[in-house]
Amino acid sequence: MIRGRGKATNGQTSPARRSAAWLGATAVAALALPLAFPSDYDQVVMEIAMVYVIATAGLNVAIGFSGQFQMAQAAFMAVAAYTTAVLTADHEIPFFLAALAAMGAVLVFGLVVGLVSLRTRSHYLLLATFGLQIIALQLLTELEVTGGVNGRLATTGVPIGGTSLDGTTPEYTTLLIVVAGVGLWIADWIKRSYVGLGLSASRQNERLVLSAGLSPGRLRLGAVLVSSVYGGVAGILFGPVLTYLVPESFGLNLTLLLLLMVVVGGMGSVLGVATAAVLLTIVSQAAQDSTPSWPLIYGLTIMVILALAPSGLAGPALALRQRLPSLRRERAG
Amino acid sequence: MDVPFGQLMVGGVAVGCAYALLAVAYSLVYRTSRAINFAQGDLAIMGAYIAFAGPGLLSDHRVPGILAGLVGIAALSVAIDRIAFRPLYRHDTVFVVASSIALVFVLETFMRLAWGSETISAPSLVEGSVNVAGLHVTGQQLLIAGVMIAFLIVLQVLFRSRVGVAMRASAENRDVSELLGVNPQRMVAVSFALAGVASAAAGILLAPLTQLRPGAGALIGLTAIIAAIVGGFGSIPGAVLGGILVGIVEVWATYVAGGAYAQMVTITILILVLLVRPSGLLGEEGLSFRR
Repeated sequence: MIRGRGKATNGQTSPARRSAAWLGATAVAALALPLAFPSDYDQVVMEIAMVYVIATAGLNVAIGFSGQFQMAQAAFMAVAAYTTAVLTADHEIPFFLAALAAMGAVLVFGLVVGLVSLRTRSHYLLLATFGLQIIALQLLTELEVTGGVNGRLATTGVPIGGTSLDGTTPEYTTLLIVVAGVGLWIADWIKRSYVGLGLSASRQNERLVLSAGLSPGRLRLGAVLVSSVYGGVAGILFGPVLTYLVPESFGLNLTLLLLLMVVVGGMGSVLGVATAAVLLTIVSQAAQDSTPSWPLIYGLTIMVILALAPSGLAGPALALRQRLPSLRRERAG
Repeated sequence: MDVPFGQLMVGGVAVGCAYALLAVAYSLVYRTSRAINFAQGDLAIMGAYIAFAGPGLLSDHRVPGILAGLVGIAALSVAIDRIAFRPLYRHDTVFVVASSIALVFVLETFMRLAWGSETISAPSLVEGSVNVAGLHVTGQQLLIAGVMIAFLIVLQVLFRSRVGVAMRASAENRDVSELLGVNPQRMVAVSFALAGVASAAAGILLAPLTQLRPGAGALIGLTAIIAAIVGGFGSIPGAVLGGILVGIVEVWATYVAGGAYAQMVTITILILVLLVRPSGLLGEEGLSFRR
């Protein structure tokens, strides 16, 4: 399918205008948010939220765009965060080189998950990748280099322009917002591209995609690799926010939270998932600070939300959008 | 080798029979509702808590305690289906999965609040042991195997009854069986009740071997899911075969590599099985899992 370039065709917003909107919104958010919420607590929550926005944008490519229930996103984040920490702290390798190595490690892991996804389908893939997540967690707890259950120090910051941006500075929040915004823009671009259409088509009817001369396997593998790259970036940037890495930060808790963000945000909707990521981060952080038995309340809340609004936040939002004639043309075509 | 081959096999098969019970619970639920309940292991542990550390009167007498565990978990299981999962069946499986992982948090925290975080050791239900062909088999191990076989026989008898036929029809083709007057929601409820009994039984039987702590449910549940997948999800004979295989693998891996790595070995085997046979050992090849 060939899309109109530059000029809007049959009522759709042109790619250039979409990009301008995404990047403009990112720039405004990156400048305004750290100023609007200056307190330390707000900043930590914002940073965590942005890390999750990046991670779920990738998970959405696998789950939402291509319908593959990949449950190892938290493990991708862990691999990246720990690799960067070990290389920069223990071996004094420059940050960007370490980050590159971490991405390499994540891609190898992503390839393993991708190969599993080529052989298995929905339920089995979900469980197999969940198994991979458990293996990764147990390795983190058992290995010496990761510090076991007690954990280890993370990378302190990202060196930019001669100085190191620490996780505690407002500039780091700005950096995270920029990376998250660009990540969302790329995800939106993938969704609307030839590849995104292929993914969405192979989710619905694999045979038809085959008969159109496309390889569903290659598309599936690509989607898993893209989601692992997002997980890797999120993991690398998560280090300075956490300052200290423990296996628990990447456990079942995070797996559920990320999955929930994608589900509640409405699978496949880029903006919906990002919104859900921010909202659920705020809720889960508040819950964790309230009482020691927060998982009870937290779990019950999630179950109630799911039972009441199974189609996610995007469901009601999309319904509203269809009712508004002025916005309808965006959906046409 | 100081531990003989046969002795490890006996231990593996016994633990495997308990996993098989739990794997059968997964399969029962899956057949009628296409749901995977990640909290099945926690339900099992909770059954054991009720049986061994329930309110005063129950824990003093073994039989009422165990009955309370079985019935209580069956009722809880049906309630969870009715309240939390039923609105989600129309949607993708991932919704029930998410809801059931949330349930893991709820049940684990509840058990922590009700019974504390410390481990509780449960006494063996049957004392003594017998020697079979030079192998030492404890009464508890015999009991586990016996209960599993008994449950399978009950299941077979039930499957031939009117309700059982309706249940199988609903699992086979929900729409056509509904046209013939089978209420699919009732069938799902029946399978959740049966799964509740099976998982509580598995928890009660495993508790004397593994000790009770609130976090143990996730581990047992995951092992049983692996067993169900290795055998072929949804297949009852597959679940039994998978359970026993996983039990044997776990006992051997613990013996060779230590407890910490046992689960890693089991999961690796799971992934290898899936790569070779994507629908499990006894799974129906034609059964497509795409929606």
